[in-house]
Parts: sequence; structure tokens; C-alpha cells
Amino acid sequence: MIHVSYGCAIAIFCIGLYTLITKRNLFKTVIGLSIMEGGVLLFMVASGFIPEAGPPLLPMVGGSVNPLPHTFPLTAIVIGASDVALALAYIIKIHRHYGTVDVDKIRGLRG
Amino acid sequence: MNPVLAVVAPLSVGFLVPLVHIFKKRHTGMSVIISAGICSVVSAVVALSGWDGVAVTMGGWTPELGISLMVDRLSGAFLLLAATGFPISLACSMESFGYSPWRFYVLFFLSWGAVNGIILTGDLFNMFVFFEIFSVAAYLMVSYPPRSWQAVEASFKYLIFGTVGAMFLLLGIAYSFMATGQLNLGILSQMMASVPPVTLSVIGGCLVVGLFVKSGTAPTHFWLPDAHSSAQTSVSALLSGVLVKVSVYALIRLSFLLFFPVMREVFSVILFLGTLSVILGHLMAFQQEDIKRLLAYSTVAQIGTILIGVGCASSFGVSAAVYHCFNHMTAKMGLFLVAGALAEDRASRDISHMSGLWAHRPLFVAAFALFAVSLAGIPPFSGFMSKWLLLLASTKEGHIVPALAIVAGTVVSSAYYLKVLRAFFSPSETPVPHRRPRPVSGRLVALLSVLCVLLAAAPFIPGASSVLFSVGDSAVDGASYRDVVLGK
Amino acid sequence: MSFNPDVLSLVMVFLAIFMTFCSSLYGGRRTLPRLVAPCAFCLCACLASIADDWLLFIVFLELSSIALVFMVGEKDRDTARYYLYTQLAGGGILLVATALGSVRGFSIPMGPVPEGVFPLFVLGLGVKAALPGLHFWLPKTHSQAPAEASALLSGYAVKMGIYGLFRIVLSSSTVLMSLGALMAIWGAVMGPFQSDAKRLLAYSTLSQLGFMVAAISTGTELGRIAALAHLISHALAKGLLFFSAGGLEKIWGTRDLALTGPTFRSHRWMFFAFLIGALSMAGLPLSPGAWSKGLIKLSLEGHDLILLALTLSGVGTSLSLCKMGYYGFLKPFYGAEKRSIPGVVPLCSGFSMALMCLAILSLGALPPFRPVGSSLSSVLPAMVGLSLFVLIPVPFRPLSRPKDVEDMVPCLGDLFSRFVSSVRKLHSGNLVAYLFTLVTVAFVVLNFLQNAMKTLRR
Repeated sequence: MIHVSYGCAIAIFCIGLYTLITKRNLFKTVIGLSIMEGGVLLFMVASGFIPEAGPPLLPMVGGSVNPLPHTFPLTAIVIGASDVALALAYIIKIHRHYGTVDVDKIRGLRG
Repeated sequence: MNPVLAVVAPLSVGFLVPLVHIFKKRHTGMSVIISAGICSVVSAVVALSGWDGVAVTMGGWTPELGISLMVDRLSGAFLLLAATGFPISLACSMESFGYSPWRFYVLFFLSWGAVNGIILTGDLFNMFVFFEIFSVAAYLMVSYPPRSWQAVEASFKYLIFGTVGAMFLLLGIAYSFMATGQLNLGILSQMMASVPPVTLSVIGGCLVVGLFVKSGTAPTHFWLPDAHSSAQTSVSALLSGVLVKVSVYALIRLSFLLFFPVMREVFSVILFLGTLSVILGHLMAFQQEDIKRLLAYSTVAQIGTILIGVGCASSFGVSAAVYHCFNHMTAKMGLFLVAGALAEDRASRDISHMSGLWAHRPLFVAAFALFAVSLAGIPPFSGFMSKWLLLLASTKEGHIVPALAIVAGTVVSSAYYLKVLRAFFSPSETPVPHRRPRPVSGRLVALLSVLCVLLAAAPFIPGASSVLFSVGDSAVDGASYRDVVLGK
Repeated sequence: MSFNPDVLSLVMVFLAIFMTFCSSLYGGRRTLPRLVAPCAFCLCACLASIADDWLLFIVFLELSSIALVFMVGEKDRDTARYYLYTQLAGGGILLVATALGSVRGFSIPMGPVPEGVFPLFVLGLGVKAALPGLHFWLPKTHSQAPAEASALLSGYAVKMGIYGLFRIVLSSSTVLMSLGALMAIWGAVMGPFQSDAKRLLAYSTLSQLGFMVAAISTGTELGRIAALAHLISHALAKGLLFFSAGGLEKIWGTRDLALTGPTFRSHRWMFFAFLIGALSMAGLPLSPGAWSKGLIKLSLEGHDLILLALTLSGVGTSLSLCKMGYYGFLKPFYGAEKRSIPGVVPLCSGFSMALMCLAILSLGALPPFRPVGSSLSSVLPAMVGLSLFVLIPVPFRPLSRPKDVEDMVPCLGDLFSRFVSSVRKLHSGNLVAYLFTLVTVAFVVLNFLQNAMKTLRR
């Protein structure tokens, strides 16, 4: 079961990468970033799982899953949110200048 | 001194600047200057007091559970680098922006705190968090007056690349946590030997790729020339001088602690991509018309040169790489300051328009020549010394191709710097349109030239060279790192 | 790292000082900045020749080349850059070789180098000393530079490469010897067909460097002494010849032998100075050239093919010098009589040439060791060359120049620029393409590491 969730996480990560390298719309690029992030977060959360263990609640009865990996995604989510927000703000600025969000047309800096 | 202070001081200044701006508007400038001085002194003191290894673990936890901060020679050297580079960049930005843009100074101090955090932290996830703080601040600083579309586009590209890199980094961290259940670097370095090889290769690959993206190694360097050339002068100097070095520091730290004994192939990858960066960076710089873009591509090449030293996987190589980091910081910051000032005077960044500047600002042009010659690696300047050490390091490990790449890079870089200097020295029909007095930049350039000359003399001072080589030893020696962090 | 002068380096030091003095005297009254470059050159060259380890030698060699770049650049910036890049590349190869050879410590002591890096050293020194194929920079630089810089280049700078060979070649090396013979032949073949006076001299330099390389690579004591003797005599003679070529350029405003006229009529003394240099170069008895060529041939006893090649190259040298003397001083090729004489040679240049003549003559009178039989041996090819020039003058008319390795340089430059512009096209500004590269790199790295670790586990 745990392998399925690892597999899922990696699959989601790869879907994010695929979105990045195929979509020409800037918004979709940012969506791709979010998907990648989701994949990594899922991976981290899943890594705390211990088979046949209960939730880490007091009073402890038997084993419980590792709660530590669940705290990392909280930080990572905040970071990811700020990245995405910043990216969207930049897209607005870029759209004001170029009048488009097509990656092929946004090539002012090259060479 | 407690290493935490080096992180806390800039961060708290960063959050205090808006308060000062609200309540004591007149004193913003003065307080920023004073606090920058304090931060710089604190970082330097932390670096020097922790030279032989000091570690603290936050919140009274044991290193297994808490976040450790630790100083040793390698991180001390990079702390000193940051403590030199940040104030210089701040002085330059104060001259060009004035005191009013407090938002910029918030970002500036945030990135300083985060940089110190990356250098000091002994915890993998914490490193990622600091990386993201510093990256977000850097994205915003690149597009600082967000009026020019170039800056916005460059920032956006930087952001996308930086985030993808961060995701790879995070994936690597998640894998290593999954494999070992630990995030403390000292403990991780012990447990890496017991990790199955395939998992180890995934961890190594993800971490290294993430750091390559962050440090702008070819062929993941595409954001770097855009960001470094579109930003304001002081920010370009900061980016090239200090911020890319931090990613290099992280690369040195992680690769040596985690993979040095168990997976030497990581160093082959670093060496290969470093060589590629040297070649690609110099070739691209050779074709640039825009002076700041030229300098930015040269940064790519110099990062590659540093990575060649890292990729040698020897204490000597790391020492040479650290030495080159310092040389590159002084020279490239100076080059960016001079280029920015001259481009502003000429109201153009096109090299072909940069004529008649020798008559206009002879001292700036002379300093530019000094930095350029030093960076190109002409003896007896500082760049030559570090490149010679890098050549020795790489040939000692039997790698000839990187050595030849460094040498060929010297020829190509002397060609493109000569192109710029020729433009500077050629007479011009039209007078230079602007002449803003630049007392601060002038002094900074003078300071950097003095540093550049002093660095060239460093290997000949017996004490200094032994200090330099002990930096490499501390990077390679995982056992002493563990001893310091785990408090044995 | 230290300096340790021995006899060889002291000879080089004296030569450097003398040549620099003569060439700055030739250049005439100069402003302070223009005096700096020759002085810097002299200082660095002296330090290079007394350096006790390879790193120091290379560093000062590079610095002296850079000083020379400034001297060349007074007249022609492009040539100066061309020279700079070739010298930096050569120095860089030497640096890599030194780094490879220094197993411990920071450098290798001056002298023989480890077996493994010997070819790399020869390659690096070959760029400096213009071994065949690596000589692409020499004719262009020598001909485009101002006369005093050419004299220093040919008289001293290329000799630093020879000096380096002195230090590394201690045993007999057939490959190097045949390279030397090839060089001698190549210079002698190309020389007589040049129409530019200084290019012609440059090829003659190439040919004489071949003599030295061949003599050094015998590895015997006699060979080394012979090469050193030839180094000195050639430096003096070639310096004088370059000075007179510079005088021709000053008088006629061109170096093209087709356009120069009867210089002999107006500047008789200069012709005699040229004659002294040319005769010493061709190896007339009682001249230093005869002395050193004789020694070289003596040292090559037993290597018949090499000796034959050197003798043949003597014919070429004599031919090219005859051509320069005839078209440059005696008879105009086109109707150059009608041209007015635009320039005169300044007095100080005359002094400098006189000083060189004096040095050549006194050296010719002094040599302590004069193998008579073999010194006569170089007269024969010289006479053959002279009679060839008299009998079949047609091919040696100053009309065009044949192709050489250096004509490949623009083609290579073209290829290079095409390559770099294709690299530049990769930086298209397209974010998706960039990201695609990134992801590819990531997968390649992961794949590489995974494969490496899998093989490790097995």
C-alpha cells in the first residue's frame, strides 16, 4: 500500500515536470510547479507511515505513525504558496508588457 | 559567539526596517547603515570565534531532534565572504537608490540572514527553508524597481528555475529522510553508508541537480545571465559576488558530507558539469554585446572553474575552489560596479558605445582593467594564483580535460575582456552624456582593488596559505564535523 | 621558488639586455610609456631565464610576451592580439604540463621533466619556438610588427622556447631532431617565395630555429654548445637583418620587395650592414654564423639525412637573402626609380645597426673554437643558392606568396565562430526549451548515478 503512495507521489512529480516542458502558457507552467510541489509533499507525508500503527494522539496506544514528516510539508506549503503568488504577480507584469502569456513570444532576453 | 546571532541579526534588522520607516522616517538610512555594520561584524566574529568548530542545537534538543547551527572553517570562510560582499553591495545600492526604498532593504537583510543561515545550518530541511527565503528575496531584488520589463522577465525565469531546483532539492531531502529518518547532516553523513545504493543515487542526483540549478551551472544556467544582467548594478554585484557562492557552499558541504566516502560518482558529475560551464560560459561571454551580460556569462564560467575544484574531491581542490570564490567575488563585484557606473554614464550597455571612457573616468577604467586581468588569470594577479592551484588540484587527480578547459578559458576570457577594454580606451567623437559624482562607488572600487591585490599575495604569506589549506581539510573531514555537531 | 643563474641563463640574460638595448636604440627617442614596454620585456625575460623552476619560468615568459604584445601593438593591434592569444595558449599548455608533472609541491625544478609530460612540454614550448605546424603565428607576427619588435621577437622571444627545450632535452631524440630538420627545410622552402621582406626574414628565422632544435635534440654536449652558439649568432644577425628591413620600410613606405627600389644609391651604409648580417646568416667563414653552423654540423655527425636536410636548407636561406638584397637594395622590380624617396632612416637606427655589426664582427673574430672544415661546408650551399638565384631568377620574383599553415587560421576561425553562434542559438530565450534542458540534465544525472551505483553493487 505504501508503495502505491510513493509511486503516486513520484508520478505526480513527473506530471508536473511534463507540464513544465510541454505547455506554452505561463499559467500552466506555474500550475506545473504546483503539481510538482504537491508530488513532493505527498511523498514526504507518505514517508511517515508505519504499517499497522495508529494516529499519533495521546494517550498512545500501541505504535503510531511518525508525526515529524507531517510538519515539514507545512513549511514547504508556505514556501510554495509564496513562490506561486510571486510567479502569478510576475505573469501579470509580463502580460502588461507583452500582451500575451505565450512562452514562445516572451523572449525579450536571449543570446 | 553563538552562531545563531549571525542569522538572527540580519533577519531581525530586516523586520525592523519597516518599523523604523514608520516611526522614525528620518533615521531609516542611518539605521540601515549602522545595522549593516553590526551584522557584518557579528558574522565576522562568529566566523572567527567558531574557526575551530562550534555548534549549538536550538531549543535545548539533542542534535537528533533539534536544528543544529554549526561553524567550522569552511562555513567560516563563506561567512566572511558574505560579510564582505553584502555591505559593499549595500553601500552601492544606497548610493544609487537613496534611503527611501525601505522595501528593498527588507529584502536585502532577509537574504543576508538566509545566506548566513544556509552557511551555518547543520540541518538539511532547515537549509532548504533558508534557500527558499534567500531565493524569494533574490527574485524580488532582481526585479527591484519593477518598472523595466527586462527585470520582470528575468525575475520570472529565475523564479521558475529556482523553484524547479528547489523542488529537486526537496525531493532529495525527502528521500534522504525516508531512507534514514534523520535530517541532521552530521548523523546523515554516518548513516549514508547504510542506505541502499540505488536510493543513494536518487538522493545524490536530486540534491546535486537542485544545487546546480541554484548555482547556475551549465546547462541549467539559463536564468543566470538574464537575472544578473537585468538587475540593478548593486544587485548584480551581490548576485554574482555572493549569492551564487552560497549554492556552491551548499554543494561543497552536502557532497563532501553525504557522498564523499560512499558515492564518488557525484564528484565526476560535478567535475563534468563544471568543465562544461567553463567552456560554455566563456564561449557565450565571447559573443556578447551587452557588457553586463558578458560579465554574467563570465560568472557562469567562473562558477564552473570553482566546481572543477570541488569535483576533484580532494582537500586541496576545495581549498583552491574557496580561494577562487574569494577572488571571483572581489573581481566580479568590482567589474559589475565599474560596468554599471560606466554604462549609466554612457546611457547604454552596448560595448560598442562605450568609447571615450578612459578620458572620462580613468580610475574606474584602470580598476576595470585590474579586475579583468585578474579574473582572466594573467600572472601575477589573484585569478592566476587560484587558477594555478585549481590546475594543480585537477591534474593531481589525473583530470587533464578540466585543466585544459581552464587554460583555454583564460585565452578566451582575455579576448573578451580585451574587447571591452579596447572600447573603453578608444577615443570618442561624442562626449559622454552623463557624469554623476560617485564618491561611494569610487571608494568601493578602490577597496575591492586593494582586496584583489592582497588576495594575490595571500599564497605567499605562510600563515595565510596554511589557513587556506585548512579550509579544504575541514570540508573533507566528515568525522570532525560529526564530532563538533554531536558534541563529542 | 627561487632564481639560480647558470652559464646558459647568463648567456640568455646578456643576450636579452643587448637585444633590448639595440632595439630601443633603433626605435629612437621615445616617450616614457613607450620605454616601459622594452624595459619590462627585458626584465621579465632575464627573470625567466634565471628562474629555477618551471612555474616561475612560465610566468615570466608570459609576462615578457605580454610586454612584447604592447610593442607589437604600437603598429598593428590585430597582430598584437593574435600574438597574445597564441602565446597565452602556449603558456597555458606549459602550465598544464607543469601541473601534471609536479607530483608533490607546487612546481617542478628547472631541468628535465618527467617522462609522461615530456610531449606536452614539447607542445607548449613548440608554440613558443614555432615547431612545424605550431609556427602559424610566426610569419604574420614578425612581418606586421614594428622593426624593433620583430628584431626582439626573432632575436630573443622565440629563443625562450629554444631555451626551454635546452632544459628538457638531455638525451637524443629522433622525433625532435626530424622535426628540427623539417622546420629548417620548411622555412628554407617558403622563404625565397615571399614578397614581403619581413615575412621572408621570418621564414629564415624558422629555418634557423630548425637548426637549433636539431642540434639540441642530439642530446650531446657538443650539440648543446652548437645550438647555443647558433642561438647567439642568429639573434645578432637576424636582429640586424630585421633592422635593415625596417630601414627599407622607412625609406620606401612598404615592405613589399616588388615596390622597393635601389636603396643602395642613397643608403650605402645600410646595404653594408645588411650584407654583414646576410653573410653571417649564410655562414661565410670568419663570421659567427659560419662558426655556429659548423659546430651544428659537427654535432650532427652520423645523422646523414638530417645533415642533408640542413645543407639543403642552407641553399634556401642563401636564396631568400639574395632575393632580399637584390630587390631591396640593388634593383627595383617595377619602375620604382620614379618613386620619390619618402623617408630617411634616423641616426639612432644607424647607431643601433652599427652596434650590431660591431657585435657580429667581433664575435666572428673571437670564437675560440673554429672547426675550419665544417665551417667551409656552409659556403657551398650558399654559393649554390647564389648561383641558382642568378641563373633562374624567374621563380623568385617578388610577386605572390605561397600558402602556409597560417592560411588555415581564418578557416578555423570561421568554423569556430559558426560553432559558437550555434551555441548562442541555444539560448533562445524560450523558457520551455530551457526547462526541457534542465529536466534532461536531471534525468541524465540520475541515470548516470544509478548505473554507477548498480555496477558498484555487483
